[in-house]
Amino acid sequence: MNMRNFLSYSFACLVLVLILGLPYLVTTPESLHKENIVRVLTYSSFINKWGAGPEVAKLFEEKTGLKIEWINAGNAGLVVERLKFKKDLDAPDLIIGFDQFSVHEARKDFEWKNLRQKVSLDFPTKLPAESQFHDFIAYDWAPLSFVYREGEIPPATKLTDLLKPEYKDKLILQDPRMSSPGLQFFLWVLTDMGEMKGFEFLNKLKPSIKIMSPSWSSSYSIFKVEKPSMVFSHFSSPFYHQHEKAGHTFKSMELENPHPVQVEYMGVPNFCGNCEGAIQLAQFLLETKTQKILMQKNFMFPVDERAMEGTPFVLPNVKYAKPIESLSFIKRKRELINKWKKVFY
Amino acid sequence: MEKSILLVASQFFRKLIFLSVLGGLIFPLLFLVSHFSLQKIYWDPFLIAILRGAFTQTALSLVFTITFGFFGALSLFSLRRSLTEKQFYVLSFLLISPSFIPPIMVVLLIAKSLSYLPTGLEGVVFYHAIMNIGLVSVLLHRQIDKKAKSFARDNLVSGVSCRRFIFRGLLPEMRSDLSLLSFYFFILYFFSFSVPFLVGGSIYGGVEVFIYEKILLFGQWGEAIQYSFYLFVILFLLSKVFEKRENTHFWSSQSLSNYPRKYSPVSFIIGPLFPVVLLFIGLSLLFLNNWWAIDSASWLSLVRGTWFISLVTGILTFLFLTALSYAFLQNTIGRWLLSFVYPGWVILGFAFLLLPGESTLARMLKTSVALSFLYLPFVYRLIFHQVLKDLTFQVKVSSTFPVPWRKIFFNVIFPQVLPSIAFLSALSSLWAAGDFAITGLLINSHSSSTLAYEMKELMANYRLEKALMYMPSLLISSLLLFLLFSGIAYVSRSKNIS
Repeated sequence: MNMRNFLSYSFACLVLVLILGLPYLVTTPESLHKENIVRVLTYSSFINKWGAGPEVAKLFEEKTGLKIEWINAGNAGLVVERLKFKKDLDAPDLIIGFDQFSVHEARKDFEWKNLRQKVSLDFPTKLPAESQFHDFIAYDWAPLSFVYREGEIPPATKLTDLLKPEYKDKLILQDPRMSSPGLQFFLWVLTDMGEMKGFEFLNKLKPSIKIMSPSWSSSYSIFKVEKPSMVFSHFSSPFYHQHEKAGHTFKSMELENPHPVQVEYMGVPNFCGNCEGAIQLAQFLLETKTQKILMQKNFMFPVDERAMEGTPFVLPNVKYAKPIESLSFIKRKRELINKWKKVFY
Repeated sequence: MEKSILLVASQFFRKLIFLSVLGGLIFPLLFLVSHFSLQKIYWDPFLIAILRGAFTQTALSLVFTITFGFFGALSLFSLRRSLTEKQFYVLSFLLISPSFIPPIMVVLLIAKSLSYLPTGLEGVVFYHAIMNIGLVSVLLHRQIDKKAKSFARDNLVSGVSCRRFIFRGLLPEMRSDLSLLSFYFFILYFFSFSVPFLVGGSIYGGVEVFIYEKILLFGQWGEAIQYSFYLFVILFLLSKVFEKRENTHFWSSQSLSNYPRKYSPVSFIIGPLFPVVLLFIGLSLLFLNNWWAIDSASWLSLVRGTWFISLVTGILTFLFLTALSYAFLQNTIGRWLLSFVYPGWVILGFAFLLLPGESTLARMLKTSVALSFLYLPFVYRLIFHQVLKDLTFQVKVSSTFPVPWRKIFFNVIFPQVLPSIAFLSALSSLWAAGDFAITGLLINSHSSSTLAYEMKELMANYRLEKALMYMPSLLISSLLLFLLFSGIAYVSRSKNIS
């Protein structure tokens, strides 16, 4: 073996590593609990460059002089788990991105400020009743439905239509164990039809299911490639296509059954360092101008309905399922998931 | 007396090195376990159904992958004759590429090019085979090249037919390599997460989802770790089944041109090349329909992030494998590494998340260490255990001379294992380039992101087409990384007297 060549080569590789690592070395570590900084823990797609985060941070700093330091929690489903382990190291002042189910989990492990007393909810809203809590405040929401391409498959008018032969192998769902929309669909069926009939329906639905994906993003990507198909998604998803490309054919189905609703929440934990800054940011996220940004970046409906004025975002003329009903099921999550497994295993 | 003390000291030092590597692998798990009480015994009745499904899909995936990969390996000999060394590296890279591209991308691109998405058992087996046939071909080609060239030539001289050569000669001769390779893929498929979960449905959805659901849905870390332990025990017992018999090796110093063309039909390359062609068709179909401009500043930062994490992961793998080859304990306690598998990326990722180090650089380094820990048992099983084992006789002979272990290592072991270490480090580096799970958990800002993670993020924001725009950058970055690590073996071989 030519040791000299080998050592020169290894040295060159190490120099390359140093050159590549240099920009990360000069990045200063984040500072904890500074008066002019609000630390926000949220899911990654909120803070990446096409998410709402960067614009919100810029406008918030202009308005209040407070900087936002984002803490990336990665997957939205892992926010609560991350808090359990890293609350002292992350030291977040505000957490953005809970849904109805993770709010329930977050309450079990932590205490939260009564945000409803601190922020103003004085705006017109179409958010279904009982969706706002005392500790967690909704900042956007959307009914869930089936998104399809017009002309590919006939739109269903009620849930039971999905059992028809024309939908065989067409439905792309999410696994309720891994995905929040997947859990929404599962609990929707149980809420709408009752537990026994709901499981019977799920059993009959199996031939219509093309795939049960681990996440919303993979299911939506498969839907974009796999034709003909339809995917369980937010009612507002077609607005993305409208925003990006004219002449699209993406539509959401309007069913007779009350649609389930996905609500995104924020909360201020009792252990917050800059609690005042966190509350200011929570209020800022509810302002009409910010609501518009959230709507156009998250492709969800704003809680302040005035943000939709003059935009293509229009609420569907459908009934909404009461959030409280699916929450009663969530308390029996393990038992219901085991029953779900009996159907699908 | 003095000599025996030195011998004992040397053996102790080697064991210490081995245990340091093993300890390093186990430390994050022990660190995480220390945060939970594991007093309750959990048992989920669905575990049996999950295991049954996993065994079925694993067995079928294995048969298809190894069969097509084996014939692909034979065809590589013919192709190698007509290509330069660099061209052959590029071909090897292309064949391996489906194994490190993020699985969701492979599923989407192939669904696009076939206009069909296979699901259920057929889907899992199809995608597993598609992703790994090329890797098996390249690996087996290396092993056959090392062991059976002269054996093949002798068969040709004796007028043995191709069929007889393969089934009566080569296959029995490669039994141990195939057994170890099968064990590797058995574990890979058995613990496979993305493919079974994406296309498998419930029964064939994989065992890792069973662990993941305990964390994600119920927040039960103790339960998840306990099921991981059950799976580890199953795996350990299985490793005994796959434990191989010794081979009679046919070592050869002949050049590759002597490998008989009759035994390596080029047409066999169709198997491993098929997935690559499908991927490129899918990619070009999506490209033709969609064209997005890539922001060059952000692209550069993503390429830099990918390079840094992949390169450090590759270097760490290189160092760990060198340490293991120095320890040279594969015939004794080294066998433990054969059965070692990390219980899911979520558990490993959270263990590293809890370790100190919050600066951007520290997080990047933690990501690379976590990835190298994740891949080390895989690359060890893949060929390295066998590579070390093949040197047993030579090392035994060298040890009869009064020379220190250091000299045996640098003169006998290291020069022979270096090409394998370089190749496996290249693989580890490629897998790191395609990872978005561990990276997503540990990386904290967009400025330190990677191409694969950015692709996953774009998909989470409806932007599948834009995500695909990063695919060529990921492929080119990976190719350069592959050539960089393969270069280690190349430069050290130059002016080498075998």
